[in-house]
Amino acid sequence: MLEHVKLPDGLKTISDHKVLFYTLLMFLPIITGFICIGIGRYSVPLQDTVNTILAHLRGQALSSSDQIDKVVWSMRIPRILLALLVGGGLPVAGTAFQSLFSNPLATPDTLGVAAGASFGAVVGLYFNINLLGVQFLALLTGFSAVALTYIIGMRKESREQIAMVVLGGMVISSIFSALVSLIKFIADSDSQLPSITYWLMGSLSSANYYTLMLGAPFIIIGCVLLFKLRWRINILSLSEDEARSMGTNILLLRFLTVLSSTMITASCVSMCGQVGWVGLLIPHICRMAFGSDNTVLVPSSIGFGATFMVIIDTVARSATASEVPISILTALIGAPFFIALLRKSGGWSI
Amino acid sequence: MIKKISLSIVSLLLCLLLVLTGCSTQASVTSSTPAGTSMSTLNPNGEHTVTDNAGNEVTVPNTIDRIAIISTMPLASVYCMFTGSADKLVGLTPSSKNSCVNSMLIKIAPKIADVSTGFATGDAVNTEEVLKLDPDVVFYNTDNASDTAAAEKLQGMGVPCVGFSTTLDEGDVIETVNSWVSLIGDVLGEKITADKFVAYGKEIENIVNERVSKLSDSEKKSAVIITNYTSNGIITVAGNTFGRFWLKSIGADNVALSIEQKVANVNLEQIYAWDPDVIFLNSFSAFTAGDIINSTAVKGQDWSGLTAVKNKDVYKMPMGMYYWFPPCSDSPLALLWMAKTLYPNLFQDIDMNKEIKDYYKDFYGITLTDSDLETIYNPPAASAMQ
Repeated sequence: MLEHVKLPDGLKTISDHKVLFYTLLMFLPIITGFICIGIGRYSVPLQDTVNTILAHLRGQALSSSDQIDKVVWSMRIPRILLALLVGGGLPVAGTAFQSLFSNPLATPDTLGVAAGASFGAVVGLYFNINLLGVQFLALLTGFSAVALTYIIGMRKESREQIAMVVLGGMVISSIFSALVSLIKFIADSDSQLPSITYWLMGSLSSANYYTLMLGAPFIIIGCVLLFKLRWRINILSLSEDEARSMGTNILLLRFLTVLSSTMITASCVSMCGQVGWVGLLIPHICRMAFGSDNTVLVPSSIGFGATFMVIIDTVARSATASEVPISILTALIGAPFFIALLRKSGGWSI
Repeated sequence: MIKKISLSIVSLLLCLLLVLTGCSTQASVTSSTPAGTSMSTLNPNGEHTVTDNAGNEVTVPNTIDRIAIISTMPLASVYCMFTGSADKLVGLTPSSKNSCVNSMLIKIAPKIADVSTGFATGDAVNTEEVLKLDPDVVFYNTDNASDTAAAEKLQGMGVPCVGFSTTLDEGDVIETVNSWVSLIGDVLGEKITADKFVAYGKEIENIVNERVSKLSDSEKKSAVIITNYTSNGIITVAGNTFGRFWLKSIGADNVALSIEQKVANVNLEQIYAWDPDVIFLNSFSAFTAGDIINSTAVKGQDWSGLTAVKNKDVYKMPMGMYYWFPPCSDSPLALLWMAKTLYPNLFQDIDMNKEIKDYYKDFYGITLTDSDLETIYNPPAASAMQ
């Protein structure tokens, strides 16, 4: 779009930088991912890692030992792919929700979407349905949660909308959390309960190509939709009349935004439980760094979120022999960084 | 009207009962006798005092007709070994009952299928529901904080509660089960079975220890115990307590020695990093050794590169009267089986089938068929921990 407008000399450099910026966003997660393939509990020499990947890409038989092949190709790579997807997905869903509700505090967690989706997923786990079914249930309950929050919080005449939305989200979130606890209460205490509890804390440990095949499409479709809509998402934060005057079908736009964001959240929750914080942390960091323009925010949330998540998950899976739950790390590593940035930049406006 | 009157009479009697029993029960903690040891003194009032695993002195009636086990633990197997039936058992947790009815225990104590479980939902014990069972004595797990709290409450209401610890002597399973056997013997006032059982356990321990202690470090095989493996791909391995005890007792090189938790979640890559010679799969899991060997347990989790899998050295731990991983009345057999499985050459002279059959005849008074043995070695999926 920028190319079509005749720009003054000064602005030309920004558009030049934009190319550089997007290239960086594209390659940062990819490079980080490649580096992290080389890190883990099982020590694999760099040369062997590279050989294994090349061998698989060429469709050849094993280059190095069988074990190295299994560790690199069927354990680390799917897990890193999952981290990239979840890390890219949750923040962009957060960004979209923030614009939709014109609210800096709107995220999958605060709106109750994550809790809603968790409830659907836990019901799925309880009845032992397959992952596709779990995702649909999670999508359904996640969507109901955000719809309820919307109804409670977005009253036209309300002046305290920001607070109302957050309060509504809190109420909806706690209702669904209570329902999750109810299922935990009914669940058998020795077999189902530990797996449900552990899963709720969030873990990418069961990542494999099979779950990726079922879950990734939803996250990718959601991200692509939001990326395509990034110009229009700016309009969402305008008032209804303003938006209508720009000739946009605001209802459809809202629906698509909510659908994409909820779909992303539901899939993430179904595959790896509640990974807290990233949905709030990354969008805010990006806002502080690049401002509130969604055309920049959407891609940067995806790029930086994915990078952040791959690093965090690499720590989770390789720091100690037993896995560290990911939510602990996102909060412990993310929060201080966030506070530092907040104090330095003095916050931001939507 | 009649209903109302009888109800008030019952509640009056119940109050009276509570007051009476409440007076005669002492639950003071004494430091004079160390925890883990037990002793009993008969007194003429129709009751006697025992010292339980928590070191509490508990006064129990000489005649016990109703027993409730309010914790999920392998105690029912030890209890039924004494009495040969579940006739006096009036309460079990749902999870305990499930493992009982799906084990060999149902053979010696078919009535266990009728034992009430209504007092517990999940982990929570409803003390009023326990009172309704009118137990003469309650058994509980001292390592479980909420069960201990429930037991303290019940004790306050006049129900004698005897505590059993699952982790005596740093997870020494044989010692733990021996102390349980002695304690139940004290409570029920029966000593002979207890002495015989303890002697047999010591004998097995000596045989195993004598043979594996001669192994040099290079002859030792490395091993890991997977405590559970569920359909959502989460793998837990045994760390401190039982896991360390088993692997140390059978002379294995414990690859998970660094794990301090009782059980820890690990990823498959960690198992690859350890790459043990032998993998034991606890019977808590519904999967079989074959599921791991063929990587058919969880879609996308590939075990095939591991040394143990390539050599088909993956073994599911049997389930007799209970799962063989935690302490239970089969623990001496479990020790022998694990040692023989890890080092078949050292125990060639031992016929495991015969050992199990003899043991079951001696201690439980039942004759096992070959198909029973098959069930013990290959526990059905329904018997998995619930």
